[in-house]
Amino acid sequence: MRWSRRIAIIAAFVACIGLADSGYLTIKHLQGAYIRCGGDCSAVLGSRYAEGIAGVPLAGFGAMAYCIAIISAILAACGFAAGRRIFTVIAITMALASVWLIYLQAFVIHAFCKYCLASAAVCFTLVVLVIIDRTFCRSSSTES
Amino acid sequence: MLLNTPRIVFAFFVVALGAPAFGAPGDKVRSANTLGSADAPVTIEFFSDLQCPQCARYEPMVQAIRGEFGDKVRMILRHCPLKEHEHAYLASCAAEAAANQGKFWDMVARLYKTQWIWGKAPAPRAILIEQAKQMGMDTDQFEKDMDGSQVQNRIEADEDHAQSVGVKTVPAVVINGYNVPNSQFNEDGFRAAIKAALAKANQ
Repeated sequence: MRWSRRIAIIAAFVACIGLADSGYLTIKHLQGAYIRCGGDCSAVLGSRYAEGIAGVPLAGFGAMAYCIAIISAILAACGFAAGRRIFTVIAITMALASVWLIYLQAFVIHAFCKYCLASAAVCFTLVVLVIIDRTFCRSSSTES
Repeated sequence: MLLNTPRIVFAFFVVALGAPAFGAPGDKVRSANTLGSADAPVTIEFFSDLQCPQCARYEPMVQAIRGEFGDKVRMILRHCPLKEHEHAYLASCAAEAAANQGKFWDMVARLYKTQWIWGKAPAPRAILIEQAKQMGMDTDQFEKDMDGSQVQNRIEADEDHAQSVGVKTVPAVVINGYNVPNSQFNEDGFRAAIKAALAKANQ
């Protein structure tokens, strides 16, 4: 099995963790679980920044992004070059979004949510996998 | 006069029975802790823990919505400091001490804005006193009031009231006895609940 394919499979599994995390947050948000005070998580997830757009909470957009990441990673593992490109773009976008969310937690909301930090860790892991793939698997990919 | 007798009797029962539930005159709610007319047919009770970020978010929202209804709606801020927030009780004491100098709402707004500073400080008392100083209060009196039993009794009365109306967590909004549920805990939901209470009060 080529390294590029292995990395794509690992990335799909990692993205599944992110999907579980953001999916959980989306469901809880829609249930109104963060309206009442319950520590730092509710401070972050109940803030206006977590509300998202048109009734879809920010965690919902995260879940959608993870879905795209999983599908594109699977396509990349199957050898589709487009899947690899889409995965690269979505992973970098999510990591940048995570940086912005960490900034909000640290300097605007002044509270940290462990679920949000876990999601950020997943996003950064995906970017690391992209860097490894693009750096070390470039030659094998172009050869095929 | 005889024609008015049933109305007077009815009014007596409304005041006598309604007052304890909604915080009308007679239930020890002081004007310093309320916004709006004391004769308003609708009373919003906002149960707050001053160290709670969600309270800091929702209280100004509820206050702005109350403003839309003018004299028809009044708002009372009730203290409900949670045990999880170690400085919440002290903050409530500070707000009540500020109330004695006519600056309750200013102090509450300031405490919400700065809760990330004093909420995590090892010794928040000095920060609260400094804030009182910045607001132009008599800090000696402020400190004395903060430690006084009068202030503590007021907070305990609010906590007892929270229990009596079924408030278990914060923020909680109770409109004429109706505890607004999670599904309605937003701007539109608050407006709808106020309108429903007004319609009921006008019947």
